[in-house]
Amino acid sequence: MSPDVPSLQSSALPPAQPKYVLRGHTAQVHAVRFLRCNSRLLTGDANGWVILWDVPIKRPVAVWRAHAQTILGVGVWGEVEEKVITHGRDNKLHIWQIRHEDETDLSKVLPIEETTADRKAPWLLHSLDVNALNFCSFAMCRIPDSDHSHEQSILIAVPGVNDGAITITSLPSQSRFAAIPPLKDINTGMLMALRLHQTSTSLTVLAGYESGHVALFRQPSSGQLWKPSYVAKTHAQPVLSLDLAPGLGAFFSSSADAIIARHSLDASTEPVLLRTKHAGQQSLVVRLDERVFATAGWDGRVRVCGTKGGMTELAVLKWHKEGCFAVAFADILDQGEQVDNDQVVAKKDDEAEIATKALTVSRRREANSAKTHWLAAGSKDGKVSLWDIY
Amino acid sequence: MDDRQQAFQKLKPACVALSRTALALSGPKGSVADLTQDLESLRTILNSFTARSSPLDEKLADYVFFPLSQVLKQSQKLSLTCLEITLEVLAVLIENGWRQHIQHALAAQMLILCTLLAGEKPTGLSTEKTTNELRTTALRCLCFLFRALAGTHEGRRGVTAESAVPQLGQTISTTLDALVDGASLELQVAASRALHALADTVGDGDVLASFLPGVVSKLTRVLAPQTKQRRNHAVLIECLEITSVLLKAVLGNPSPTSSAHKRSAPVNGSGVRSESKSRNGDGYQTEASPHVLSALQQICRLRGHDREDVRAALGDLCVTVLQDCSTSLATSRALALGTLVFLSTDSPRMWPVIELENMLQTDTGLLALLQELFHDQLQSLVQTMMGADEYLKTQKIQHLSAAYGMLDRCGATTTLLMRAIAKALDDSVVIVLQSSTLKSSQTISIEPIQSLDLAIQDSDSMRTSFGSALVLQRGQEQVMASIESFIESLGRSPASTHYSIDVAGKIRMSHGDAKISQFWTAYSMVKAAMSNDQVTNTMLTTYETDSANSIDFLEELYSFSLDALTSSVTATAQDQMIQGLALRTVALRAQTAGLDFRAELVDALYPILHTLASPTPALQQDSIVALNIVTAACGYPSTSALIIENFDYLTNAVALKLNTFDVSPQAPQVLLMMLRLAGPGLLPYMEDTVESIFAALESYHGYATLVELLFRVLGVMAEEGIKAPAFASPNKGLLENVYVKEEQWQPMTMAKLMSTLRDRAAERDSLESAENDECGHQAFPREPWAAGPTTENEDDDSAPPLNDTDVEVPPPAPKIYALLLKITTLTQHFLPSASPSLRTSLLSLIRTSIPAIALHDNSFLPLINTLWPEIVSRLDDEEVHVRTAALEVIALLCEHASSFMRSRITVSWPTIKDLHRRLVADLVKTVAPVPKSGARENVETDPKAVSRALALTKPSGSSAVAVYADSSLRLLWDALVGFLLAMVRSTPSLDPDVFDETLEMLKPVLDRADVREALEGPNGNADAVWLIRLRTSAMMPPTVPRAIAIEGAGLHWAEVH
Repeated sequence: MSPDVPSLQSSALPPAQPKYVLRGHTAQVHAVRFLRCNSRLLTGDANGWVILWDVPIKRPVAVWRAHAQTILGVGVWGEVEEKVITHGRDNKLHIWQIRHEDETDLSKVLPIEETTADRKAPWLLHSLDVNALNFCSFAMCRIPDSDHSHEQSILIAVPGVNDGAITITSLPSQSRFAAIPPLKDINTGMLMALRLHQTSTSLTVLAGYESGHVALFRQPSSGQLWKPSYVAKTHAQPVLSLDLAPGLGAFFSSSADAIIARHSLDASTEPVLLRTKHAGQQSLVVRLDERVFATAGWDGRVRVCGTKGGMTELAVLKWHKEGCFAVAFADILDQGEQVDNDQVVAKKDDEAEIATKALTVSRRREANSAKTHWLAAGSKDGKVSLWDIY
Repeated sequence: MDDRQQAFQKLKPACVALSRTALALSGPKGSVADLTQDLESLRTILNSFTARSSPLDEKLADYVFFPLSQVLKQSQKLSLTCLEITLEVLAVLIENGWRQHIQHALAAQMLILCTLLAGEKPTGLSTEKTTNELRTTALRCLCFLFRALAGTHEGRRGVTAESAVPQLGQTISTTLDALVDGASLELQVAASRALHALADTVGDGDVLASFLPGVVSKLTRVLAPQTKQRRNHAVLIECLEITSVLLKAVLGNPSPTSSAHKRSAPVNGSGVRSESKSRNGDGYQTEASPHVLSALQQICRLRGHDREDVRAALGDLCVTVLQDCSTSLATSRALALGTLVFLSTDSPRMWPVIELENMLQTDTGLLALLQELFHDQLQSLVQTMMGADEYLKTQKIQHLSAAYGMLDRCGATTTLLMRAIAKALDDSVVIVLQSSTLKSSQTISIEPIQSLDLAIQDSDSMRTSFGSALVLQRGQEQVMASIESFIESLGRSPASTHYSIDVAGKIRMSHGDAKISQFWTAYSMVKAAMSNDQVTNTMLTTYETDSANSIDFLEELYSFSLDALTSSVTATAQDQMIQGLALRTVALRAQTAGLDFRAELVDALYPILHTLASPTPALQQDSIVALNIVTAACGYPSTSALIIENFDYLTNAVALKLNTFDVSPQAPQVLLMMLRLAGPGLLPYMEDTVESIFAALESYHGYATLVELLFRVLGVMAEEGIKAPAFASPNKGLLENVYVKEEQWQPMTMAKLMSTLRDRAAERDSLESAENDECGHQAFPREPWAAGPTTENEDDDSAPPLNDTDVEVPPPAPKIYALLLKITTLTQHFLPSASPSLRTSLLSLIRTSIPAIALHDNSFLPLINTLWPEIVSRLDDEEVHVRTAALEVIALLCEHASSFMRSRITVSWPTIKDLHRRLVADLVKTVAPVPKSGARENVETDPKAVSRALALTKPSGSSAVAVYADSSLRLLWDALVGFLLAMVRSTPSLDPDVFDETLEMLKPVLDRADVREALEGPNGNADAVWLIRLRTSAMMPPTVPRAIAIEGAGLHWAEVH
């Protein structure tokens, strides 16, 4: 056994159980994402269906077929996250508007019901033609606001027409922001995963390739070409997912092989490799507090690992009988635990308690649900399991 | 004036007559009888006055008294009746005539006279004896007399004058004697009234003080409840009032108001007297105090009296002690207070109780006393609870409750006090619970599982209130009820929130009875608090923080309840009690939250249903009630609607439960119920649940009950699944069968044969063009129907033509279809199970799902291939009904798979023949238990014996000699016939040997129309039927028609018949 692989501790606790299983998709779930302070969960499946779930009551609030083919990724945009971005294999990237008041009008009949009734789709704000010959989902980030009066702008990165090329578009202007050419001298194959990160000064682009390469680009000074500031081949198989933890100065990559790699953002150190015994980590996400990340594995298990050191495996969540394709963490809203000063925490808690007392039962429920450390995992079996861990 | 004149006119003759008779009495001719008569008439007249507003006045009274005085002078000669009437008249005169204007001398005389006559041994009468009536009348007279005297100061002074005191003493003692020992009720009542009037009249503390000890001790004798003699309530009330008056007069506080009042009345020497009184007072008051205390102790035992007026009078007395004698009778205050508190338990709106509360508001000393009393009671509560006297326990708790109520209203409750109370109550409940643990262990009986959904549907119109949460012995109910009402009163007070938060933390920690007790206490308290909140919230919002507190508390309890409900082990009665309480809490929470509770159903609904499936009837009842409450709170029209609209939550809960290999029967039962209520719409969500069930079946296949239950769930899934609309539409599969049937072999007419031959000749000519035609539509008719036993290969050949048509067609309703297929396929592993009931239920499951699965041949035919060996092996089952079910399944398969079955039937034919042979043997045996030796072979083939046996075992009982026989054999026979018919009807190109043997088997029932219809049908052979009927002489051989070609004869005859 490799010393990198932490042996599973035999715990006295019974195996973890999901808190809830959302049944509704008939096809593989390819994308999951929490939004609006964890009150909603967005899921997309291989038939192009998108479901917006109400997390506290675990019921759909909007169901529509966003694309004719597989959903590759979903995202949200806007001050109150009222815009939903869907990316499908039908070469389209749609941006829908679902405000709170729109939810009442939208269909709530799940695809599993197999009805043929007409459904009303949400209001379509933008539709981009993108290249989606591969399975790479779009990536997005916000542009720091210089002008508050305007609508919030975002950047959307999608694979370019050439293999390995990246196109970055700005929204809502729909103007080309940047085009990153394929890596020179390396046959990277198709682009497999993308991630954007915008700091106050510059834009960072992460890319994973079919060849197992991972590249990092930083926004060049204007007029110059984009060049990779870091390229590493940590995987033998195509990279499947990337996520970064800017607070730790690191990013993570997973691939179709059993390796999870941690790279440093400034390329100062060699990547750290975690050799799991489970090939195929389809999705890797880092939680907002950057303490843990989770991977969705083709073996149907979701693994939660620490972000630091040897990336210790903390939990294996086993419920799905088939492979898991997507995983998402809820936002961590109760930051109080991390504050060192206990008294401050206690005081805050008291205040919160007093505040909750005034709430009605259902609002209280919503508040509790929002504070829960949810983890959602979408699987090939069309179900999304919700876990409450760490 | 007119009235008075008229009265006088009426009275005059009577008085004159009376006067004359009375005078005559002193002479020799006097007659007591005449006198009596005259007195009677006088009384009648007087009574007639009193009936309306009396016209009598003192003048008239004087006038009437004159003859009476004559009579009284002769009193020694008078009869007792006479005296009695005289006194009655006198009473009327005093009451209505003189009233306050009675002359003092006369009054004094009358006092003497009446006292004399009221005595037990009156002197100066014609006889030594007296009657009760006379004494009563005398006392009544006294009563009126005192009342008359009380009206004036002079009158009162006259009575209390130094010289009159001995006589007063005499009167008092006589009256008391009559009161204590009086033989009749009237006498006692009259005596008590007289004494009351006397006490009122005298009113002077000093005078009464000298009589007090005697009077009180006598009165105590009257008032103290005795076993041998029960005093009338009227007497008791009077006596209590007298005591009250006496105590007030003698031992009353020298209140400034009263002295001021006295001073305001210009009475001679009043100042001096009040001074002397207060001076004397200290002396006898201190002396009297212990006596009075002991007397009161006796008297206060009346607090348990049944009549409220008596208790009210006692209360008045206590109020007097507390209010008017607070200094002199300080030692008796605790007693009086305790008695009053006690009285308040039964009648909290009684005047003395209200008075007490008023006093408590102002008198801090009294409040302190009450607190002390309360503490003492609380200390001794546990002691009492451990005793055996259930009544005492109830009383004690009620007492505490009442005292608490008073303290609470005075705002004198503290957190410390609440804690003490809660602890004492907790302990008490634990004691009660422990003493009831001896109860008989409940018999665990698994409720019929099917009833769950019916129970839900029935529950729609059922009750919404819980019974008692705790399992108790009969005698304890009262005690618990009183504790509960106490807790409720605790809960209503705002102070309770401190306590309840305390408790909430403790519940999770504690165990056993203590846990139940704390949970129950907490629940009762929060329930009361919630109902209280609703009241206050609607009126004013001052208690906001308190209500928030109690909501928090409820929240805490609620989350604990959900945990308790879903815990899978409910072995002990204690756990069940906890769950019962938990159900109540959930229901309460639902009621509080109202429609908002819908969001909570994701967590709360399954636990409730979980308990519904529990084997304990009490818990089931609670569960139904909780469901009803939740349904109402969430605004669903019925419980079924509640379940149907929240089936996603339930599905999730059940699936998670099953996923953890929790093999308690509840989850499958809930699932069963949901399936029945929600129907096929549920099935698409069941994918993973079915997988879990499969996994459970795999792991626990040795546990017959569990496996059976799980398969019952799967069976219901199949039943509901086939109801899906996709399966209900006119289906392709059946149409195809019809098509196949139409293409079957038919006896050829000559013309057809000729045309066929011609066709063939033409085919040979144009072989290539005909080739296409054959492949398309005429595949079947081209099969040789008379071929020998077919091989597996040929099956595969016969299947493709069916498959070709729909090779690309997906099954209808893919999810449900896949589920049905999966379930049905799984049965193969369990068909050889050891449990006959499981085998039967599996076969019936297959039977249920086949029509739906048959809609998609590509899945159906492989399924048959998979299941066939197992089904056929069931034909050898030792259980008759399993064999029956297997035959029925095979019949169904024949119907739906038609030609696909042909070779399989041929292969299994020996088994079927064997089954038939055994069945016939068994059937005949039941009719003729002792078969003739060696007749076995004959019997088997003798259709007459079989048909006779069938006739005899017919359930209709039409046969005169009904034989008691196993009806299962008969059912098996029916199934066999059904199978054979289905086989003949549906399977084209049946092996002729098989058909012949079928015919042989069906011989006994050939007379049935449906049998013949099938056998003579397109797949049958009418000629063979005709022949066999002829052989068994079921019909006469027909006369051979002439001039008909022999080839066509059989056909022709068969058609005739």
